[in-house]
Parts: sequence; structure tokens; C-alpha cells
Amino acid sequence: MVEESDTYHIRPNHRLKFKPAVVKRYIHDIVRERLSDMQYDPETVAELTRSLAESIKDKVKTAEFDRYKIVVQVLIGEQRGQGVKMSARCLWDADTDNYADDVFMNDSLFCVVTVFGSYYY
Amino acid sequence: MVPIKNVFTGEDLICPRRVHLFYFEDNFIVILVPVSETLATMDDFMSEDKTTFIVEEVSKIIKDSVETVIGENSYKHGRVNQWTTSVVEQCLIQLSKLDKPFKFIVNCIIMQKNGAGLQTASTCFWDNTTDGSCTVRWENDTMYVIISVFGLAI
Repeated sequence: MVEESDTYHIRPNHRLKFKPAVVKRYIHDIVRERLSDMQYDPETVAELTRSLAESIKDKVKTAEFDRYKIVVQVLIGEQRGQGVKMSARCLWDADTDNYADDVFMNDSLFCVVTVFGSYYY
Repeated sequence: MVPIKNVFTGEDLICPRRVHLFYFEDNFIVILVPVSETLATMDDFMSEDKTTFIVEEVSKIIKDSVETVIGENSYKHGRVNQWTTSVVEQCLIQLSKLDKPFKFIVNCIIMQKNGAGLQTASTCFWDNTTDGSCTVRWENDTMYVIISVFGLAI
């Protein structure tokens, strides 16, 4: 991305901003498709989270948010009645940068996906 | 224009770098500042330490934040909200004090210990040479804490 010449654009065009709603739908579809009938299995879950993150990242890239850096975080946990709390905070430019997240639960696992988009000036 | 003579080579008061003064016919004086000297003034700003994501430094900040906020406390459902917020805020405040040209994303997960499994993965589409991430796993007797910091260069 850095090989592209500097455009000196400080702000992306309004229509080309990172759209949380669009990304949230991508996450929603992919997670439901992959995890609907999955059980939590300690051996395969590592590979599953990694491949889920890759799939979501590839899907978000197809949306072509120009000059945006993407960070995708996937969390899969076993449902055993324990308490969990996840929070994130960012030091960034609130005008250009944004995030999208989604939660999925079934009987044996829960999955939280967060996608952050940060504009590269 | 042909330079008649090289009048002066040395530091001058206005621009304290080595400059060359050339005296031309027709009473022109040209001051030439060698490119190497101009870049020397940018040295401080461009040095590696001030513009790269240093994992050890960030890792230390995260560990200190968690120790300070949670320490030896036991998992309490009513306090978890406040803990996550405090940990993340502390991290962010310390990171912004580093004064680096980065945007930061700090993520904190607190989970009660009861035998359940947890897996997290992250993948990023960014510039590998300038951006970086640091994840710290911390635990005490009653809970697990996972904190991830992503630094995106401006």
C-alpha cells in the first residue's frame, strides 16, 4: 500500500469511508455460515479462528475501502457459564476511522468478531 | 553566471549549518546549503526509535497497566466493566505519552476461570515495516486477561 504515491488526501471522500454497516453484514454472514453447527473443540478451534479471521479480512478487502488499513480480531470461547467481558478503545481520527463488530452464540460456543478500519493519510 | 570566488565556507548565524557563499559578478551573492546539511536537521525526528512500533516498550506498558488496575483482585461480575475500561484507558494514556506518530487500538478481554476454553486470533492488512501489534496474556487466581495493542503508523 505504501508503494502508491502520496495522494495528499487528508480525508477520504464521504462515499468511500469505512462503512460499519456493510462490514457488519459481511461478518454476520461469514460467521453464521461457518459456525452455525460447530461444537467447541480445543484441537481445531485454533485453526478455525485463524481461518475465520483470514476469510473476513479477504471479504472486507473486496469492499475496496481505498487507503484503509484493516485489523480483524476474532474471539471464540466455550460456553460454560463463565463471565466474559471484552472492550476496546482507540486513539485515532474519529472522522475517518471506524469499526464494526458482531457476536454469534450457539449452545457450545460464542464468537465475537471486531474489524477496525484506519485511514492511511 | 559564473562564480568569481568562493567567499565563505562555514557556519553562519541565520542558518547554523555549513554553507557556501559564492560571490558572482553583477553583485549577486548565492548561498548554497548542501543537501546533507539540511537533512541533518531532520535527524532527530527521523531516527528509528521515534517512528517504529517497539514491542517490548508497549508490552511493558500493558503489563504495568494490568498490575496497577487489577493486581490480585478476584473476579467480580459487578466490577469487570470498570476494570476493562480502566485497563484500556491506562494503556492508551501511557501509549499517547510515547509521542509517536501512531494510531492505537487497544483491546481487552477478561474471562473468569472456570475451565472453559478461549481462543483469539487477529489478522491485519497494513504496512509490515511500520505497523505492529503486541498481545499480552496475564492471569491471576480467578481470571484470565488478554490485552492486544495494534499500532498503525500515520
